[in-house]
Amino acid sequence: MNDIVLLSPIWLSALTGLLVMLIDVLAARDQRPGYLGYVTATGMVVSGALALFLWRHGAALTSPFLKGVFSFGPYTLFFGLIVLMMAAASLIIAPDYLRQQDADQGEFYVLAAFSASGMLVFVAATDLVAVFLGLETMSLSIYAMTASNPRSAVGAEAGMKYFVLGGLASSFLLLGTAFLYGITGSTNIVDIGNYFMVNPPLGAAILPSFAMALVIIGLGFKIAAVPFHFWTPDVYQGAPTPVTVWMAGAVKAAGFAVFGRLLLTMFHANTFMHIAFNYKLVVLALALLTMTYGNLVGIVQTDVKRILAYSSIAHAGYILLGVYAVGTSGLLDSSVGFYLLTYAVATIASFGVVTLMGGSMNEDTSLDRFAGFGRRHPLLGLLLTISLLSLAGIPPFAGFAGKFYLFKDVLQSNVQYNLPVVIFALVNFPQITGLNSGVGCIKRPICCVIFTHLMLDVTLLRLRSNGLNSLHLKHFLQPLSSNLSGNLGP
Amino acid sequence: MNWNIVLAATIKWVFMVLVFGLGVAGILTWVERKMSAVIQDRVGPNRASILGFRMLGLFHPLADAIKAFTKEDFVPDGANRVLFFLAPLIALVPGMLAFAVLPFGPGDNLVIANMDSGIIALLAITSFGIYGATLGGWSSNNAFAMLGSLRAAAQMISYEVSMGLNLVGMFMVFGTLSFSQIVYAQGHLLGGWLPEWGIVVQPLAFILFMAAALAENKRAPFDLPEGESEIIGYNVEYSSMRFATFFLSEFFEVVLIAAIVTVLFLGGWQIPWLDPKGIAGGWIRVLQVGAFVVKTLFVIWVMMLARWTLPRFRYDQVMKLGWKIILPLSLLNILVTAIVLAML
Amino acid sequence: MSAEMIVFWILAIGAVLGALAVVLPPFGRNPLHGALALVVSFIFMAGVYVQLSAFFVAVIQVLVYAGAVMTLFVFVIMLLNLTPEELAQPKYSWYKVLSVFSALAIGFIVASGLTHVLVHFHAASIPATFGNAASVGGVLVKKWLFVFEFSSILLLSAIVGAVLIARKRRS
Repeated sequence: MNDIVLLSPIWLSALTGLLVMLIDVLAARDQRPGYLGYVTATGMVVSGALALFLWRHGAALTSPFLKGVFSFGPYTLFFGLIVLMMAAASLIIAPDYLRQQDADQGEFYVLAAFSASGMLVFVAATDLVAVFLGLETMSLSIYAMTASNPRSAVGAEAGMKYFVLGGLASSFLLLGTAFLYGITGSTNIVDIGNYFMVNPPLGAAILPSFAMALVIIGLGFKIAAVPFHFWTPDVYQGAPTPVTVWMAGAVKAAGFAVFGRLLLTMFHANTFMHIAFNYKLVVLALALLTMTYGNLVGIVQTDVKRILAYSSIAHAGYILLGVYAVGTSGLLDSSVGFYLLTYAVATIASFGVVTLMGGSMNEDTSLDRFAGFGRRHPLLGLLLTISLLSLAGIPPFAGFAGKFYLFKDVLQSNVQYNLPVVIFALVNFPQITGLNSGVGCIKRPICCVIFTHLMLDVTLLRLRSNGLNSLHLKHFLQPLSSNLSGNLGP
Repeated sequence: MNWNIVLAATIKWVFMVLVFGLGVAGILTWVERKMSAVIQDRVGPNRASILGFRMLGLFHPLADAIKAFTKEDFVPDGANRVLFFLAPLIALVPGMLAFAVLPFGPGDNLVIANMDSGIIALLAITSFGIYGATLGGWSSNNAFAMLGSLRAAAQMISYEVSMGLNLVGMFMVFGTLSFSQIVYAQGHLLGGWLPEWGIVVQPLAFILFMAAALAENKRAPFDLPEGESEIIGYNVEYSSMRFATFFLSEFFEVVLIAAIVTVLFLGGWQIPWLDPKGIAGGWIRVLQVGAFVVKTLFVIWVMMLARWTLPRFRYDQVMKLGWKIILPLSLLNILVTAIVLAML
Repeated sequence: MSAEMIVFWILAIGAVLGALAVVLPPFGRNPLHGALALVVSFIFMAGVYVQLSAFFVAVIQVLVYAGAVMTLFVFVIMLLNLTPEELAQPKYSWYKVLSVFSALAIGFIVASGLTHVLVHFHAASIPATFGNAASVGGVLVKKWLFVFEFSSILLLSAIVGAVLIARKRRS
């Protein structure tokens, strides 16, 4: 019984998909299936409520049946909630957009629900087999959703690209799993970590390093870290915008949750410290590459969706920096969780506005089309500006706090090169991507600059009067993170 | 590796496949023609004779074989020669191999490979039959043959699913994947008088399996891949011995499917209401193998009747029947079986 | 060399040759030949599984991969029926050199790692029921029940996705 309760967010979201499928089949033929989007979103919200309930009362529930395969600790539930929140938001903005594109089909929402349940499995899994199953369920649905608009050749191309590269990435992860199983005799990530703790890889340790590289590559595709990012701009641009929200928000959050959990649990830093191939250094290299590339290439883009795609690449770099700095206590105690939260909210908002506009703009989201946008739609313009500024990390918006604590964590952690890394990240013009599009939106650069300055001044004033601690947004997370110690294991 | 086991298996295989399977398949070519003649009120084959003895036309299979061997072996221009040569063999060999897991009688001696998951193995082996038909049509470099092979591939894939699903109910009832154990389990009497045959405990699965097996075998009323009377099939470019091999493989599969149906649904070698202790020595074995052969021949007879009394389906009807009727019914059968088993 | 080793080497070499034939000329030039080479490779792999006492996995390998999945591959290749001109391969010889090089590098890594493992390898004794249908089924419906059931969602989403992309538009 406990297992059914613990698994309830997962099976409920899968059940939502089945229910939507039934409604779609039984409903009248001539009816627009848009309302199914709201039904699905409701299912996601209820799943989220169940996850919250589990957060409160789930600690007492133990299930020997799920032990070693799934974990429903706060780590899982926190990222599960982010995923479900992003999913519900994407689903709420989807129906209008799809109707404008004449691409609304009931199957879209079925796939969305299945994808969400796959993400929950992906996030909750503590066994590589379940990780792979969740990854595939999540991805397969998204491939089809990407190509779901039958009138869009770009969408079909994006779907194909994502499918082929995603399949390749999955096979990397699978091969890594096979090697890890061959080395340690287990697919459970805690067992694998313990094995490496007891038998530290000596010398070249070529096979563990190779397996680790395969796992990093496989997950690096999903979070769009830089050498594995090639699909991102094309797919983000070609996909229907609600699906882009889905990929930039939910998939990325789920990907980072699993990335952090797998690396920190299986390749515990101490184990690999004395060999050349240290996962921390790999993650650091990925982080620096990713943020630099995302920010630099983002500058020259002229399409809003592409700009946001590069912005999401750059953000992956910052989050990777957080993963680099994280200690043994795990991701949730670090600022990565909070950073992801701010990123998720800002991504939903910015892509949401683009979605609302994209439908009526006949899917032309070039920067020019947004000229005078703030005047035509003042509220939406304000929302877009705020979310872009937040993405850029301008105070007083949440994105600033996210970056602030991320850098603080990196500085305070005892990882190598923490100071130069932070300086590098700071001079990496994180705001350029955001500002570029912000400027384009309002077409009144001065307005934007004044606005920013105002905000900055307010922030500085508050800083002077209250000191740094008043900005400690981590307090908001405190009730969430009180019982987090040692939550990585099952 | 024990070479005696290999030798014994080879001898058994030669006996079962070459003597029983191939022999029956050869005679079937005559039976089918004679039977169709009776059904259609004709005389049927009666010309071939040796020294004036006609023997009801029984020499016709022999004459056919001689004809097949001596005719010109034609390879169409532009054909993929390797695959063109291989295709008939690929069609024939899986059927021959599949006999290895079928028990002809009780014990380990009357079955070649008494495998723990024999039924799955049999499905695995027979699934290769598709390659014969599809490659045969593709390699002929003929548009009509190609269309025929596409029809064959689609049809066989579709019905293979239902075939496998219909067996799931049997697995659930008897709790085994082994042919031998299923036959042993069918020796029980329900309530002291009704033999616990597959056809009794899984009647729906029996009907659906027969239909799916007929379609899998590409015989009327599902003979669209060949469509010998008007639409042209995958083997249109084949002649002489290669065509005969395709032809033979079809009859071979008839024997095979009849044997599978016998083993799974008709109690295999079991003779109900017969007390084995009442019969002396090895004669009980002979009787039981005889029962198996008789049951198999009966199923073959039913399949032939179906062929000559039912008109052919249209292709969309074939697909509809497979996916919209047989498949859902098979799933329903599994569900009902599970519920009944859970309640018992 | 024992008989089992001889059989193993036949199976292993067959599997590797089949896999190579999938991509290398002359078979790799023609997609259908490549697909059939893959079938051959799968069958030899199933033989290796049998030698590892994993009978059920071997049978499923033949049934699912060689029998069903590859049939669909062949079916699709036949439906497309591309001409040799359409299949003309790009002449990026630089890419070819690079791919051969990286394949060799990965092969070296794997081979050296595996030999390292094999040195410390001790054959474990396995129970008599290892690898038969009952034990595989027991594992699937006990510890892995939810994962096993959830894989149906994976398959269902694949089906729904295929329908969504491939079907005709409703008017």
